[in-house]
Amino acid sequence: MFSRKARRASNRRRLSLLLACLVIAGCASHSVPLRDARQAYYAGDLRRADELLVKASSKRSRDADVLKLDQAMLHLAAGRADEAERLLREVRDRFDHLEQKDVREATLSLLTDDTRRAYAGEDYEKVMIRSMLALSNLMRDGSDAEAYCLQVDQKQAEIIETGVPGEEENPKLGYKRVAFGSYLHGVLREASHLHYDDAARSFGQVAAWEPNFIGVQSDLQRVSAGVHSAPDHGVVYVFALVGRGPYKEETAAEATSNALLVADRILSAVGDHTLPPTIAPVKIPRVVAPVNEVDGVYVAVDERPFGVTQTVTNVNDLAVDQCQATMNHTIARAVVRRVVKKATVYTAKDQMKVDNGLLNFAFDAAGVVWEATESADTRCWGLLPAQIQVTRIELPVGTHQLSLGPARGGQPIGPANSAAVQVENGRNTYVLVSYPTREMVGEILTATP
Amino acid sequence: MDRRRFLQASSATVAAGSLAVLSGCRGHQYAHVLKDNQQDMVGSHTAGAETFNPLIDEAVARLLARQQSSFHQAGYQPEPVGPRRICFVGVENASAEELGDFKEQVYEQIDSQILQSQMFQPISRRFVETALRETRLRPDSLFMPENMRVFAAVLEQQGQPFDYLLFAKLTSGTTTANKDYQRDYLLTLDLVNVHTGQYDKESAKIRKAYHKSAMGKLSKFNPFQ
Repeated sequence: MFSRKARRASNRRRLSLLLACLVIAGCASHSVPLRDARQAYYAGDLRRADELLVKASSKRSRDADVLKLDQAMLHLAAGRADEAERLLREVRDRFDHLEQKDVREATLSLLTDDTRRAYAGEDYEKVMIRSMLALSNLMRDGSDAEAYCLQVDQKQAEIIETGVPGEEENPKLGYKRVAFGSYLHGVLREASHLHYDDAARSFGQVAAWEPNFIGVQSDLQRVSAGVHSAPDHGVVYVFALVGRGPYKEETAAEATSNALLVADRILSAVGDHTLPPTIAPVKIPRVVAPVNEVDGVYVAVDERPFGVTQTVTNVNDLAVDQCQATMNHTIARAVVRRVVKKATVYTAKDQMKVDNGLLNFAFDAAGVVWEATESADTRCWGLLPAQIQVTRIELPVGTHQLSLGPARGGQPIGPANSAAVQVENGRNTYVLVSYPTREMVGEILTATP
Repeated sequence: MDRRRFLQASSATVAAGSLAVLSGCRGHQYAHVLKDNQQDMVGSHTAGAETFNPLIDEAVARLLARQQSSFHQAGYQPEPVGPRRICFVGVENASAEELGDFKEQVYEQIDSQILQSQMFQPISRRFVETALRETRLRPDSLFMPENMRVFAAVLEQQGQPFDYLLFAKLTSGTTTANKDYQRDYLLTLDLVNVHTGQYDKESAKIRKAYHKSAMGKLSKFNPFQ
């Protein structure tokens, strides 16, 4: 009688442990609750998008930073460049802080999944924050734009140099560079009429990093031997945020031999053991580049066609390439987590001397559920554009009517939106427009810092 | 070792080891103000304060000293009353490194030191930029007499006549020895008298060695060798 009671109590304790394992298991994917907010943004309903983002951020504290990034894009499109800059700066500083390792989070993420970690941003996001900071500041007063441009280059150099801790070969050495920071730096330096040498250096860098950006060749020629603009002329730069940018989704990945090598190194570093013989596919985040119907913005000045914007930074390509470059490490982390979870279940069974067939089955089932409930970390900056594009227009001093519309393959595919721009002698005027789809989002922003 | 034993044995070590591998807690960043007598940090990859500050100090001091002596030697000639007006056009970076935020700092430091000398009275940079915008002249084209005259006339219209044009140029020379390299930084100041076309030039040099490792430094600069 006594032994039966004791056995029941013991079984209850074991089941409690199983439940505890399930409670700390991973949670649902990031992308679903935000879909509505992002759809509202793409539909041009900025107010609705803002409401949904605010609502989401009050419920999902772990997503707060990426939600702020989305809000910043929304503010920028709506013409609130100062608010956008404030949010971007806040997240930049927070990501810098979160880049440091945290032992508690690292352990918890091994027992659950990566969604338990504070999100420190993907490499491309860290660089793009600084790029968007430069753009936001430029559309405000431009006083800090040069500093942000320098930060773009500094950050990407730092990311590439740091590599992936624990990996013998640095997979980030092959990262494609973001040319936007250098381009804007060159534009700003040229506008001083004093620093043509800096401008030439910056444009030279852009030409090397973004060889498909043909427009920079004429920039390079001009700053090397010419001048900013003809007398009684000024320059209009049209910056366009074109297409829908990258997002992440969960996928099941086979543990490739290269990934297993990395995982083995991590495991070997913490003990004298090797990997188990087989590893089932693991859940990892994968960067997806959406197919966009718009690939440029056509520009007309005073009702005369001028041309189409050109890509200075392709965010989609950048994000996909970086995801691919670090894929082995991502899979390896998931494999290590799988091993830890399996080991924990087996150890628990041994420690508790599970000899009951049903309880043994329950433990195994719980182990399977524990592994199955983990989610890939799909948090990301969802409202990034697919491309940052630009075109340079030299115009006589005075007011001009600028028309901007969506384009594909160099041809207009939708109605244009117009704005009046003031061109000043020897100065730059900046215009920012956002075309995530064939409909413009927000308004055409103009600034003459 | 079978799979079960492997997993059992590894559970504890993995958990403990993961702490070791992924260890560390997020901390705050710290900073402190350097006192005047404290050494500048030394840039590990490019030149920084440790290079530019002494370069500027030396180049400007040499130029001013030479101007001072020529001033005394030519003392019998009638000299303009008060400090001579100087138009500092800018710093050209022709070195292998980008100057980043140091470019403006180099300009301002040179400008301030010239002002402090009381031999020269620099023209505000805002006037210089406005004149360049007005004339659409490139800074490197101001050496041409005709361009110089046009530029001087515009500044004079703005109430900023000047006697001298000053250019600064930073160059570098790199010597590579396997993975290590030495880079010589040269700051040159060119001074042109716009009235006579007379030209003066001074420069300062700093040599710096970069090493991939501490051993690399030791092997090339062993104090006991």
